[in-house]
Amino acid sequence: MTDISGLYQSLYHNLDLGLIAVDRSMRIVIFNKWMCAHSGITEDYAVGKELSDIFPQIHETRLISTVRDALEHGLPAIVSSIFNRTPLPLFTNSKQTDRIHQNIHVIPVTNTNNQYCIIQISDISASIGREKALEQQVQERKIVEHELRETLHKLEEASKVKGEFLASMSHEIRTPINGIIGITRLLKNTSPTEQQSDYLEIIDNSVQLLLTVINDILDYSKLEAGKLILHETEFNLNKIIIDIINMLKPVVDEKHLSIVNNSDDNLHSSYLGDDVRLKQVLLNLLSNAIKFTDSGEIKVSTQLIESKANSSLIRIEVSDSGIGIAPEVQSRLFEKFTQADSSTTRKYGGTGLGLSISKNIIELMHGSIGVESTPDIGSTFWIELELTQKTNQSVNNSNENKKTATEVKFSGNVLLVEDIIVNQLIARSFLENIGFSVVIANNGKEALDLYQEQPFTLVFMDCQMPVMDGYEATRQIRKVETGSHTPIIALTALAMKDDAQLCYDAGMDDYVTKPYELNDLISCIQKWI
Amino acid sequence: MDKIPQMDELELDLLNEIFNLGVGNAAASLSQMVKQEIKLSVPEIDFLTTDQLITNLGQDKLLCSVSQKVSGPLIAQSIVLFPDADSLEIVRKLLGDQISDAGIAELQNEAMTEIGNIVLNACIGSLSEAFSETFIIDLPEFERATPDALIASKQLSDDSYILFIRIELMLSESKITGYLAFLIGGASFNVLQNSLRKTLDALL
Repeated sequence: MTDISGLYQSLYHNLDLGLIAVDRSMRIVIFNKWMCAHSGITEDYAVGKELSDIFPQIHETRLISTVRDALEHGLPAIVSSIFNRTPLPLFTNSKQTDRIHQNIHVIPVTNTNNQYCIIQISDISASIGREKALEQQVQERKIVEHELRETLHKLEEASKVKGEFLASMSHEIRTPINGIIGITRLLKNTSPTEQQSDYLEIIDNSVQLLLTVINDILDYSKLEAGKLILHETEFNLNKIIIDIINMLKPVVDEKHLSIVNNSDDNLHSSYLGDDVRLKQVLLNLLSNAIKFTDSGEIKVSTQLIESKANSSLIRIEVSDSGIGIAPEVQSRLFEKFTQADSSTTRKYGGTGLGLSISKNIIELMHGSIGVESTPDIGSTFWIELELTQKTNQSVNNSNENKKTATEVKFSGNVLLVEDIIVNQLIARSFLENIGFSVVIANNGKEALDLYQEQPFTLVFMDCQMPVMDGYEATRQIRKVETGSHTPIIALTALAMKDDAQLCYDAGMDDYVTKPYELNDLISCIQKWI
Repeated sequence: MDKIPQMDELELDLLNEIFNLGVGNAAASLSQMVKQEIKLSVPEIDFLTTDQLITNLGQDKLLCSVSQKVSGPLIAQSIVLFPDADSLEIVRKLLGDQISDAGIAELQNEAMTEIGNIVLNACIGSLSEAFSETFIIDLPEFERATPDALIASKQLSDDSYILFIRIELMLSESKITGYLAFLIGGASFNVLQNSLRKTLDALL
C-alpha cells in the first residue's frame, strides 16, 4: 500500500502539468513539482496552506469560485485562458518575467467521504503565441489593405477633383473668350483703319487659337470623366472632308503646300454618326499634317474597305511628307500630353492632347486609329470606322435648302434673356443682323414678366442668371403659356454634366453652346421657325 | 417513448423556478467573467421526445453544443445548444471586433465550452441544491453537429425524454436564442418527478 502511494506521488510529481489538490477547507494537500518549478513556491511551503494564502491574487476570481463550487456542489469547471488571462502567477522562467497562459480544469473528487478538488493546469502559452502571431498577421494585412483602399480612394478623388477643376476652369475661360470674340467681330464692323483691322485680325486669330486649346482641355476632361456623348446625325463624309480642306486652305497656301483628296466613288452619300466629332478628329489629323510638313503635299484618301448590308467599313488616311515620327515614339503618340519629343512642343505648339482626344473619340465610335511613319520621309495617320448607311435620303438636297449666313433674313421679335452685358451686346448684334428685333431681359424674372406682356417669335435663354435662372424661367413660362408653343433656345456656356438634358427637362426646345458663331445661331433658328 | 409522462402544474412550476435560479446565477457569473452585462431570459420549460427536439431545432441546422454528463441519483446528459452561426456571434461580442473571423472560429471551441460550462453548472447546481442531492458531473465536452447526430451521440437509453428549455441570451444589443436540453431516461424521469414531489411536500 505504501509502495502504491509512493508510485502515485512519483506519478503526479512527474506530470507535465500543474497539479494542486485542496481539501474542503481549501487547504493544499498536493502541490506538484511542475507547480514548484513555475511558481517559485516549494512543496513544503505550500502544503497545508490555504490556496488564497499562497495565491492572494485569485481572491474573487472565477477560478476560486469554481473551486468553491467543486467542493460544495461537486461541479467541475473549465477555466480557459480566453476569458481568464493568467489566473495564477506562473512563469516559464525563474526570473518570473514571462507569464504562462493557462487552461485550468477544476475537478471535484470524493475520497472516503472527504471532498477534494483537483486543480489541473496546462501550459498553453505556445499555442496562444501561435494564435497571436497569426492574428497579428491578419491584422497587419488588414491595415495594409485598408491603407491601399484609402490611397486608391484618394487618387480617385484627386482625379475627380482634377477633372472637375479642368472643366470649371475651361468654362470660366470660355466665357470671357466668348466676350472677346464677339466684341472683336463687332469692332470689325465699325470701319476700323487698316492698322486697326490688322490688330483686330491678330486678336481674332489669337483668341481662336486659345479657344482651340480650351476646347481640347474640355474635351479631354469630358473623355476622362466618361461624359463625352456622341450625337448621331446623318452626314456626307466626302463633304466633311472637302469642308475641312477648304477651311485649312489659307494655311496650306501660306506654307506653299498642296492638298490632294482621293475619294472612293463607292462611298455612300449619307452615313449616320457624330459628324461634329468626326470632323474634329479629321481636322486634328490634317492640321497636324500641315503643322509638321514644310514642303511637299498632303494626301487625304478615303477608301471603302468592305460594304455590308447596312454599313460600310471605311478607311481614311492622311499622309504627309513631313518630319516623320521615330518608331519608338509612335506607340505612345496617342497617349495624352505626348508629342514626338518635347522640343516639338516648343517649335510647333499645341497641347499634345489632340491625338489622345482623337483616339478616344474614334474608340467611342468603335473604330480604330493608327500611324505609320518613317522619320524625314513622312507619316500616314489612318482611321478605320464602320459607319451605318442612311438610305433613300439625299443629303445634298437638304443642304441646298440651307442658306448661307449672309443670305438669311428673318423677321419677328426675339426675347433675349441674358445677364452679362457683353453677351447681350454680341447676341443682340447677331440677331439684329439677321433681321430680328430684340427685347432684352436681364434675368429669368424679367423674362417671365415680359413674356406675359407680349408675344415673342423665339426666346434665347441663358441658363445661369441671378434672381431666377433660365431653367426656372422656362418652367414658369411653360406654365403660363397659352396658345402656340414659343420655341425657347438655351444659350449655355456650361459644357459639362448633362447640360442638354437639364435644358430639355426644364422645357426648352434646343440649345446653343457658347461661344457661338452667327452660323450656329442661324442653323438653330432655322430648325424652329 | 411515444407518450411523455406528465408532470402536474406544481411540479412544472418548481422545476421552472429551479432553472430560473440556475439561469440567473449563470448570467451573473458570465457577466462577471466577461465584464459586460449579459442577461438570460426566464426559461420556458417543455418535455419533448427526441424526434420533437430534432424538428424543433431544425433537421439540418448546424449546432454548437456543450454537454456535461450527470450521474448519481439520476442520470442525464445536460446540453447547452446554440445555432453555430449565433455561437460565433456570441464569441465575437464577448471578445471584441478586433479579432478576425478566422480567429473567432478558432476560439469558438474553447470560449463556448466555458460559457456552456457556466450555464450548465449553474443549472445543475440549482437542481442539486433544491433536491439536497450531490451529483457526479463530468467535464464539459464541445461538439458541432446537426441535431440528430448530436442526440445519437448523447442518448443514454432508448426511452429518453428531453427536458427542453429555451433561453434567450442578451448581450450588447443582441438577442440570441439558445437551448438547454436534459436527456433523461424513463427511470431518471421518475427520480426527477419524485424529487420535485418531495421538495413540494416539504414546502407545502
